[in-house]
Amino acid sequence: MEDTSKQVLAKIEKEKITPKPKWQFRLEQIGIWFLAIISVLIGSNAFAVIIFAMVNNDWEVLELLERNPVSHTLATIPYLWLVVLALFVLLTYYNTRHTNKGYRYNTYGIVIGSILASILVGTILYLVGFAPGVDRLIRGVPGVNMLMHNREEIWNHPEDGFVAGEITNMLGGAGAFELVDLDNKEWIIRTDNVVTHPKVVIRVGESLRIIGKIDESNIFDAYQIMPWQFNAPANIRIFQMPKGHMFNREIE
Amino acid sequence: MAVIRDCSQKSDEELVALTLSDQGWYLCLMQRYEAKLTRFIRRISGVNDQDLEDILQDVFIKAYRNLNSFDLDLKFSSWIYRICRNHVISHYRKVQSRPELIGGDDGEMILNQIKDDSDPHALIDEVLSNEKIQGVLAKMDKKYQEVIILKYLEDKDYQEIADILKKPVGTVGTLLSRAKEQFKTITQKQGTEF
Repeated sequence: MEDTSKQVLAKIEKEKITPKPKWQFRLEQIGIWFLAIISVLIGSNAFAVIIFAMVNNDWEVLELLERNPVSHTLATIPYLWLVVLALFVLLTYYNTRHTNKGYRYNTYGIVIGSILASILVGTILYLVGFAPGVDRLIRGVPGVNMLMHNREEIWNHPEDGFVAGEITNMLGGAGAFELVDLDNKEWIIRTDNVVTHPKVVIRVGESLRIIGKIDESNIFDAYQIMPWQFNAPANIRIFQMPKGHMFNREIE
Repeated sequence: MAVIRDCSQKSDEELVALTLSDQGWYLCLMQRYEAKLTRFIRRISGVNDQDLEDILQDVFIKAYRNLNSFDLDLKFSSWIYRICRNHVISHYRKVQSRPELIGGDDGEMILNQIKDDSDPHALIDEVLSNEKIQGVLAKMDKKYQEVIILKYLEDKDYQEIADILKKPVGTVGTLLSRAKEQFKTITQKQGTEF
């Protein structure tokens, strides 16, 4: 036992063992921090979409929809995004713990810190209008839409007075416009006695929710017009028209 | 001709820096920790001398290979104890058996110290039985055994234990407190009197 140190030194010299270069350790730490930051960013995106989904949850027409606020809330909470947020908070925790001094931080401190970071960055992402694109991207993944609340179920009932769609043509001077609904059916919307939400701009390409009534000549008489989504950039296409559809073109 | 190096006035951290430019200095560091780590390995593993020597050699080589990862915010001793502990755990994972803890005359030392910083009336006024204490320690959870060993045998403070185990200081405090509780519970269950 006495010679262990000397034996080790001899082995180091004989086998030409050398310390691993410093950059390897630095790179490893940078990698772990990078993953931690990526986890926060993905968690933040999840939070941004949660805000977006909750803002665009038809709160203002619950009464007209005859929905109870509590059951509506429970039915429409974006559970999938909450799971994503939780998952990436845990990943942030895991990565932070594996940094050089990560073990020194309090567990609750890291978890609460990563939640707060996701909330802060997520709110910023929401405010700059990042959420709708992410929401749309994820909803495009096959099967994901089934796991999320689908507003189109509410707004695809023109016979009950609820219609949503995209303006395709302005009928100049007639106080009306043409709209293609979620089933790609075309409607003429009359706006003689309408209350229009201040955020709504009536122009081609705008996506709207409309409450009204179909009259005897099959024209949809609008009482209330609201934007389809709040905090959605005006130039993104909200509804996905089938390929080749005459309205399936980029909106300028 | 062998180079004579005077290590006595140098700190561990200085020796690390010197080793990185001249591996001969590493002998000083190893000699400084050889006895301590030998004792520590024996305490946390109870291996025979041959295995112990192999483990110790592996620890020193591993430490040397990773010398550039040593962080000056830590004590070198905490860093090398951490490497040593992790290596012992890996070793036992490989051989698929549980370390047998505590050898030699450590039991009495532990009990005295546990008595010192707990309720003085809670335990014992009789003569300590080393074998009994080892029996109690052997029944303790692994996570509690190692904090007891680090605190009372290796004489590490909370921050050092935290750095060795890679746990927050608060967690170390909790572990130690629970370890003492478990120690007392086992002695009571066994009806062990000291």
